[in-house]
Amino acid sequence: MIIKHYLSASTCVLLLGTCAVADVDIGEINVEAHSIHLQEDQVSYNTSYGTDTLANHTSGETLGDYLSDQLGVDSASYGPAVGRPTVRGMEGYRVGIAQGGIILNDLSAMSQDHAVGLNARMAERIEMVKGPASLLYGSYSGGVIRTLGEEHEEKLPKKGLSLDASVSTNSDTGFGTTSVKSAYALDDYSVNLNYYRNEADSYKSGGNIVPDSDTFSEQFHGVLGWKISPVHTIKLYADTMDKDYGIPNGTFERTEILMEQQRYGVVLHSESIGKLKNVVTEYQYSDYTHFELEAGSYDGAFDQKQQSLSSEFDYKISENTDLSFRLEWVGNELQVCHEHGKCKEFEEAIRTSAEDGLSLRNYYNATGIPYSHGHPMPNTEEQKILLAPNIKHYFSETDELSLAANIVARKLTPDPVNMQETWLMHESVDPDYYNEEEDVAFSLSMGWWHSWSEKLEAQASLAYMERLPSSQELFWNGFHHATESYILGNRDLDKEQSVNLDIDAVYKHNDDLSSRVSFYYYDFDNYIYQSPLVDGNGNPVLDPFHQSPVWKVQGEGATIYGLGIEERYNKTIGLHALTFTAQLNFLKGKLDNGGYIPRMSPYNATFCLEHDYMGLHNELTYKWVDESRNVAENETTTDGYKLLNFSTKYHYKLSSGSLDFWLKANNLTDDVAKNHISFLKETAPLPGRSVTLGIDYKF
Amino acid sequence: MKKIWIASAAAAAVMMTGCGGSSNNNNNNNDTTAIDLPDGKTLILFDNVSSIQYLYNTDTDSYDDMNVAGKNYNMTGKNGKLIVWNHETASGVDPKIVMIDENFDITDGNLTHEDMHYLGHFHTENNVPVFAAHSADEFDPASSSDGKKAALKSLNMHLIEQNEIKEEITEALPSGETLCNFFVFEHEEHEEDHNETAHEEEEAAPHIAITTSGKVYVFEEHEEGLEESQAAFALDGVTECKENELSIIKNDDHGVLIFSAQSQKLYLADSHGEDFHVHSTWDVDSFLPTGFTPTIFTGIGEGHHDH
Repeated sequence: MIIKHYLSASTCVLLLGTCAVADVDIGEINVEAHSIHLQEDQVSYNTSYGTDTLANHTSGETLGDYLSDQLGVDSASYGPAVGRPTVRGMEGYRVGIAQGGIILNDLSAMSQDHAVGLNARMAERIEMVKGPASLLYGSYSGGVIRTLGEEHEEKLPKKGLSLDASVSTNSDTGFGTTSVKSAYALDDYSVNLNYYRNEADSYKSGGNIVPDSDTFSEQFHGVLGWKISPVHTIKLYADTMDKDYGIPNGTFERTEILMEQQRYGVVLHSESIGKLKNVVTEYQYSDYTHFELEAGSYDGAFDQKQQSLSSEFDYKISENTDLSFRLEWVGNELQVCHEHGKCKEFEEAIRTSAEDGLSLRNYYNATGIPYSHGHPMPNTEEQKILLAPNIKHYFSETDELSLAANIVARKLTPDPVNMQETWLMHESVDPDYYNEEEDVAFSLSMGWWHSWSEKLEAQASLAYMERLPSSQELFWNGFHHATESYILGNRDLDKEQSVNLDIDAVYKHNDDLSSRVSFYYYDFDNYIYQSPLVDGNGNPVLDPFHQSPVWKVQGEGATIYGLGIEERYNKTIGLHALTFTAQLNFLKGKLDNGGYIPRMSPYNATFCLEHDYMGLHNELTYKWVDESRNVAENETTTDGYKLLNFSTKYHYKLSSGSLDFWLKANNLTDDVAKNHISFLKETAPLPGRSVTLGIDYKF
Repeated sequence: MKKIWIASAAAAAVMMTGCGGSSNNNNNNNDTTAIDLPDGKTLILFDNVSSIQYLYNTDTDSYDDMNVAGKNYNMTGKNGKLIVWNHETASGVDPKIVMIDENFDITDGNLTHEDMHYLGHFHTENNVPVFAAHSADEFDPASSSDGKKAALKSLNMHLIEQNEIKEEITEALPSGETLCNFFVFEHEEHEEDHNETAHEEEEAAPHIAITTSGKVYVFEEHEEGLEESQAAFALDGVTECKENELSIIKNDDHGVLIFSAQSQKLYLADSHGEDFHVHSTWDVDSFLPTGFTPTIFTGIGEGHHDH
């Protein structure tokens, strides 16, 4: 995994300027690798970032905003409240987002308007996992993004009281962000209490207010730690989060999403149990709900309750061979409601002697499509068992081979108790539609890391991945307000299969100059995506209830490939440390039957100049994004844009603790920037010019 | 016509009074939780078994018990059925609600004051629209005014027209289906629209028909007669339709409100250039007292509902 230039540079600058800026903590980069090559300029399957570091560089508050500076990462924004990361062209279900090891209980992968069920700022660290190591947590072509909280740390916080409090305000949207992370620890006990709040009015773009782009988010997170013995620590955690955000989708009436999530769990960290090392066992219960409101009317609702029990450990097979193993059981229950004004609660539908699915059958007979205007999908229950070994063999100091497998067995039980009887799938259309199904997905990944010389280090991974289609991809059959489209699921979808090749290399020309290259090629046998349905004349098919385009979920052969290049140059002049980085990203997604995959990130380049002097850190960034060139059939295009950002931060050390004052000026040229990978590219351009001021106090 | 509907909608926001038998809601108005029924409607729901009768105002989300002693529309101990008709007068269209005898054969076309219980409409008092009801006796030809005689004549003309449409729809229904109730949208005639386009629009006036099996068919009028214009659909919880236990009225130019005594639900089926479909559903007991089980309903006023 590539280490991002901003972060690396900050650390590098710190190292170079140690004599003068020893007290300056600009931002820590924490490269964790479960391999032998723990070096700064390296390639690794696991790259971990301190959340503080990412927060210094982000211009937004979503997880996508936090990570979008990373090579090959973009944010699939849906207004300022929603930003799910896309990694190397992979979006949605192809990118796993986990808290610790447990895949997040939210529905952000289901649809772009659903926010990721966490606030990035509340995590202690964010880790990007690629290659064989990612299979420990699931089979995701784009890898897994792990957010790690205090509960995922084996050790208790440092003894005594500690605090990290920050506030900021934005010139454009008003209000701002408040974040408080506090901890108190004794030898064997600890307590952490974290609070986060972000509130913003609608922002402007090109001088015009983007309606309904307001956002509000609040989260509490508490952890109790107890060191049971020198090798065992247990941590209990509870978390509650609320979000309320507008959807700037261009409808006359305000579209709004109210989201809430509660999580409770316990993590047992064992340094060793017999021959097993680093044993982590976690149980988590979470309840996720969100309501979709149109003009204040509760028109949609989603609820997912999830339980997970997992255990992972390391085991030394031999002197040069290590095993990491993870086992997980996940059970979740999903309920969906879509009925105008009737989705404050989930109800069971009426059953009478009327013919099941009569209205749906009539539409099927008339149009060949089983249109429905009822709830879009049945309630579903999923039971999954995941088993994942990852073996690493170290041939020498310069060679490491990694082999991982992931096996997921799933039982999926649809329960149409919520479906209005006239919109049930009619037997004559699909007699097996509501049948329970059991399926298994098997993925395998092999990685090779090699240090060719002191200057050149490379890593390649080749994976065969299988992904089980989600219940939404299988069952959704109905209108989707937020995207103003009719989604036609596909009950007969096969597993998504792909062969993925990732090659990463870093070349250190000298102490000051380094080059990094990242190449990826993903060949999908059955790429599952939503494709616009067209009739025999090539005209878009419109649904009969809203005259919205029909998007059919289908699997098709596809290829996604891309290249990322990063150059970094450091220069120290006296007490001044300068770092210049240039980053280029090229990406294409093509369907085997012709045409391109929609919403692929346009070509882009980022140039960044950083300057450090004593406690001062300045940063000037220029990002160029090309117009959309490789667009799918019927996909709208976007113009290119440029973003010029400047930030400055001053670190002031106190007798006890420290203060950081910072200013970020984003989109200085006030360019109207339309994010091509967003469904709301037309109505929700990226924010225009704004200045954010903030202060951070730590002790 | 539009003005009349707007006036009716505005009227829905006021309290009930009446012509020699009105009531207001100072004493018996009951607010309910807002449930997003289309604004601008005044609904009357009647239980032909218990004779309980409520008027519901969708703007104020409140209901009134209409069976108040001394009021013309007091139906205590009586049976009846409700019809709504757009009375075209010299000053415009005046929507009226008529409670007629339950046994009157609506195809007869010879309705007299003896077949009526009351006739309700809106009029203006002190610039405030007021719902009022005339007693049946006021339409006794022996003593009624010319205006009332003309009104009764117009009502009978309306019933005859409805009967003709009923026969037309009956012929158009698929074999095996029997017509239970229906509604036909009228197209406004604008002076500038006396051209081919307006003619085409008139031809395409949607006919909403509900069969005894509870299915909803939509027809459009073409030169060859009525043609089914979309897939038939069902109403949630409805398996049968009896004429006196299922009502259908206009909500606005794009949709109808349907009430089924079987399901005790009110359905908004509408279309905005596409197929008619059930847009919203409301349980009657969500806006009227629990235990009240109406058998029939009607309403006036131009509804406003977001799509």
